[in-house]
Amino acid sequence: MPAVGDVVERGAPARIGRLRRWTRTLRVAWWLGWQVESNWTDPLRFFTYAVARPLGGALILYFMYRVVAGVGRGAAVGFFVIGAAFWPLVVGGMFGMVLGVIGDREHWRTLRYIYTAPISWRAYLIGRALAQQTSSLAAVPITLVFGIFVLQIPISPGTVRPALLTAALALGIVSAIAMGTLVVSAALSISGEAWRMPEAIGAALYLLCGVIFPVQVLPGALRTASEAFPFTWWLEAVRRALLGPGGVRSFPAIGDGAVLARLALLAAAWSVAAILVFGFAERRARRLGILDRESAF
Amino acid sequence: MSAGPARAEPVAPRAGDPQAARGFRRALRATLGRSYPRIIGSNRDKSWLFYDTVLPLLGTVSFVYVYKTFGAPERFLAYVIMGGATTAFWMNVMWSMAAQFYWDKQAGNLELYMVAPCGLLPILLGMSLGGLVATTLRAVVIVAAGSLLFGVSYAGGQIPALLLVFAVAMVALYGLGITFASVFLMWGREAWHMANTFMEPVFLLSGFYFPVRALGFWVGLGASLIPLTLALDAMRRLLFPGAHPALLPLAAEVGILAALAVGFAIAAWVSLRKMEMLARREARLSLRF
Amino acid sequence: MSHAIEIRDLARTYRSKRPPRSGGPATVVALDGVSLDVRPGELFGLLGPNGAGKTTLIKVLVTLLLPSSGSARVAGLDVVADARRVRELITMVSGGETSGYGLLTVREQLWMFAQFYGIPGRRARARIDELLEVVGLGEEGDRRVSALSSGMRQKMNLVRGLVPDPEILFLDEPTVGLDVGAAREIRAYIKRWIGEKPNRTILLTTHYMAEADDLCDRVAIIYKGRIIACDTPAALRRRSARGSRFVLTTDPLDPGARLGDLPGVVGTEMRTADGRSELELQLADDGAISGVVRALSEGDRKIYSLQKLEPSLEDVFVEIVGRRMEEADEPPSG
Repeated sequence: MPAVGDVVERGAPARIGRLRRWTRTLRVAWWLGWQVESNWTDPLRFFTYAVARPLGGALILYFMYRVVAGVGRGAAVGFFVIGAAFWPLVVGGMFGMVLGVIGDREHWRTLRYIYTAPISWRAYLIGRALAQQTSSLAAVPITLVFGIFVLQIPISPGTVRPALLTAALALGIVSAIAMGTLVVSAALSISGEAWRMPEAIGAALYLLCGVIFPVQVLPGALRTASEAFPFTWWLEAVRRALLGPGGVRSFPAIGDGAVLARLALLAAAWSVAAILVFGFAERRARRLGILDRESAF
Repeated sequence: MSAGPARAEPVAPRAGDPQAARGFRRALRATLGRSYPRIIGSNRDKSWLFYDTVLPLLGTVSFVYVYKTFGAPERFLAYVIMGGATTAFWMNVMWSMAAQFYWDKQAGNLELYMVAPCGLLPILLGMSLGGLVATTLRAVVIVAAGSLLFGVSYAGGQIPALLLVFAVAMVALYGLGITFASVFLMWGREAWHMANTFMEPVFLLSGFYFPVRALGFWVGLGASLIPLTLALDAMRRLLFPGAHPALLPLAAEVGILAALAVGFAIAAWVSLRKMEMLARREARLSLRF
Repeated sequence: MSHAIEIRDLARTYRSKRPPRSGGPATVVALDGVSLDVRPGELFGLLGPNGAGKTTLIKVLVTLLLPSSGSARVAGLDVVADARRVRELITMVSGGETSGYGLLTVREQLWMFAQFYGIPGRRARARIDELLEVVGLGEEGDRRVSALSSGMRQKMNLVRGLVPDPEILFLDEPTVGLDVGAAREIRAYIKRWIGEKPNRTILLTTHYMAEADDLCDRVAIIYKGRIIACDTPAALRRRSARGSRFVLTTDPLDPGARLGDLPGVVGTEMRTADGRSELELQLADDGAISGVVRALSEGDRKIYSLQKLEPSLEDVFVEIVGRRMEEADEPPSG
């Protein structure tokens, strides 16, 4: 008797069918995540929502700089604006994934139906993460344009390196999904409070990964720890790709190629770790019968 | 099922018990009753120790390092630590007050509150009281840990004035929270997003991490509609006398905060009544999602 | 107070969230001119399919919803003008409730709600303990609400509604989603409570026919926002025009047996299995059964069982509406 999935993709070779099902699941999950994220209001209000936080964050740092430096311009402002503009991609990736589990389990109560559907649950969760990242990504150009024209950060066609930016962005998204997968693995085992985990991990990474200050300021042990996270190198690569050689750097002694290579290596390592940990967490949750257990928190 | 008559006295008014006195006693009991889960919750679920103290502390430390990057004077580190502690109050007011009726609607509690004879105001006051007690504890932990970590010291000569500013600001802040509770309930699912949207802009406008005067006098004055703006400014002035560039004289700041407290108390009362009538007229309480 | 609940021409419409289709209505009528009186001390049932308007009516009566037109008085008080005073005299318990704070214990949760009704702490605690014992939750008082099964949670909610000792108790589908045992216990306690407190009134909504039949002094059948019948369950059943029905088991009969030709027999249905025939007979009146029994005896057929089928509320509903209850569900209106 054919499996349900075979019936759905009748006639397609098994491997192509699997890939097609995987991408279709990803697409549908992305659509669902986008609806949950955006259909609560009209486009204008959604736009305000999407840009308010990164713009607010950039302006806080700008004024902090101004009250101490006494001037509003400087290379440091570019450093802050890029950190504030791009960081929501990381938190969005983690949050989207956790919503795919905790939201579906506790709020919408659809987890058991999605999990038992003949789809890849991993593809579904990645789709949900990408949906959150999409709205975060939409705010990036607005924050950058605001930074260039209002805060006068030194980004110009001459300083931008598209190839480095594209590679860094792709690796950053992969890293955020890997981190989201690790967070969701933990969320599978704990109660509804897990929805705050992205916020918690995000706050720790915000401190460690040089989002709003160069990591050299950190004490020794924290600086060493920061180098183990892909996001430290990701933000460094993005800043180099946008601000050019005049920008403030976390690792002035390391070349662009080496920064990108470390980012790629760490993204791969964290992805492998995420796959292994998620597989373990999923098996454990099924064994203990807690996969779809609502916590009634 | 075991048998046994339930012989409680009815809740009907007793002879010689004026209705107003009975109503007041009931409101008082409802307030204390609703504050109970907030206070006991901190004891039962220890996750707050991590989420509500370690988490804001981590964010605070990040901003401290920003000032360290610039080589800023010590009082700037203290500004950030105080701002970090204040985030606990803002989060409490947004998530556990303003958005609370929205969560209560989802959970099915709101209908039960609405048919209770005490009315919604004592229930919200109870939430405020419980939230204030629990959050003050958290804020104290954040200030103590942050100050110890970075060796920050404060001038402690004007503690009574500091407590007065804090108390008046809290009345105004929780009044704002009660007003928002009605507004958020009407917004439905938008509430969650709006609470999220307001975060960084409020941190910016209220000068959580820098003196609000940096925004310019008029912007700072406009931002004073958020009670935390003047509260932070006044407390910073009291803790760093002579060094802090305050927005207004202390008496003016306390006066505005007191006016905000009265204004938001009235706004809370009016918006609750309006919300209740609107909810009954448009059946919004029946819609869960 | 002549009536515990007095409803006159009550209507409630909702604005439709969906755009009206070509010519379709932009509003949904949930209640359409409902008039009803519930007497003090009565256990009154409101029976109807999903979406018939039961919950909308209860929401108007408990002051959660304003009527679009018409009036309603609860304990002699207007539900619009005197909402606060109405709330002092009523409580509401809804079925399938997930309300409550998971981190509180059952006792704490009930104590908190008792405070909303202004019951002094000591009296509230004593009453809670007493009622928890009565509903069989005495052992669970110190358990967290999040650890309760749905049956236990519903019993806890029932206790919540009873602690203030209301003049009028509103029960909205109190046994929905419960297993047979838990539902039976809840029903038994409702009966006991009203039995022990003859001056109290209960308005109960349900879509379970047997529940209405078992519990209620009087039943109103509501369909598409209108009350289409209202009487005691027995009187409603008597209205059934289906006449007299019997089921009879006998030795196998020839499929061609012409029992339908006997005097007073309106219709027959026969099933044969396991060496016996089961006959369902529709008779003009009860007396016609003797002719059927005589005919079978004369044909040398033994009769193993004979049972008179009483018309049920379901039959009454089918006759008035033309559909079975579960086929008559409407989409929710609000």
